Amino acid sequence: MEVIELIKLISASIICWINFVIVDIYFGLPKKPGVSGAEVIGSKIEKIGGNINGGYFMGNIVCSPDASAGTLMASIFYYVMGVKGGLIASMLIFIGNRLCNDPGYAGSIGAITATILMYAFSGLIEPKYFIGGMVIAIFTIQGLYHVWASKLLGNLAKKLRMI
Amino acid sequence: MVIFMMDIYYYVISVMVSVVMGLIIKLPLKLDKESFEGNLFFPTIFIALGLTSIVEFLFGLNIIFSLFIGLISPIFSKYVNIIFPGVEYGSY
Amino acid sequence: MDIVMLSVGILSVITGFRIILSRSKTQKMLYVCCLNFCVAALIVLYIKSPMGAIASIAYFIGSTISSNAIAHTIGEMKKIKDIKD
Repeated sequence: MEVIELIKLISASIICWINFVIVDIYFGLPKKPGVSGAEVIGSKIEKIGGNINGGYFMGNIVCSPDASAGTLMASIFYYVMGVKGGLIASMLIFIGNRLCNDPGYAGSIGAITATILMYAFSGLIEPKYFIGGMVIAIFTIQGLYHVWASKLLGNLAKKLRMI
Repeated sequence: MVIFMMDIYYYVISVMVSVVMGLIIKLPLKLDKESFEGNLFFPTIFIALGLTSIVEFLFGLNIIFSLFIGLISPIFSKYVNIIFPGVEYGSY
Repeated sequence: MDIVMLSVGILSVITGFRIILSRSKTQKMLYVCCLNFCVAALIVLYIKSPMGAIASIAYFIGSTISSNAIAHTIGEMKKIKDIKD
């Protein structure tokens, strides 16, 4: 019984990882630092041996709520309210993005795509697993080992031709 | 099932009215990923959907609320750079 | 206790120890961002109501604004004098 729950958690984590990395790379987070705090984090990641574009990606996630925060908030609001919670989360993430000096395209569109994915998988995986899956997905990027994560993100952005 | 379909109609009505009002008050059509100005599609549709779902959660929907949300969301989108401005010294 | 709350709690404890053990100020900001995600998920897993979701998003946006301000301050201080980041 616990094996089925573990499989659900890991598959939800993979879905969330693919969603927020694709949306963030498409809206140009690895290309340049949006705010001046992200440039500090990017240069520090490059100094300890990582990739500069992956460092800009990680700094932009720290300094403003982008598609990673959009995916987490959409899963939280889907967990308590259903589909219309995802729409509320999209509007609140847009306001939060504007308070952090960011145009706000990545956050709200990431929340909408996460809501669509959760509605598509609603028969198989409950929305509770998406909350834990998003935390695991952000842990593999920000918390595990910064050099490997920045190299992986830089190579992925170069392969999608978005730098 | 019928009630669920009626709610979908209210969401569609508010989005359609907001896009038509945005065409009337001349919002720009070009979609720019860098600028802070609103255009016809970007904040308008998301604000309309979010406000409609908040009103459905609090009061319940009818046609008056849908028309009112369709009226105020393009006005918010036209002045979004004044309400939530982007500052020069913060960007890199 | 179910598996989701258990795994999120274990990850938050690991991240808390990494904040204490890390020496660089800039790398501490990255771990703090991961800890914010964990706390925002734990709030709504304990309080399963719409007000819990509102509290969670208010906490998350406030913590992100303060992270933005601290990173901006580190960048401005590096221009004035040579600090160790």
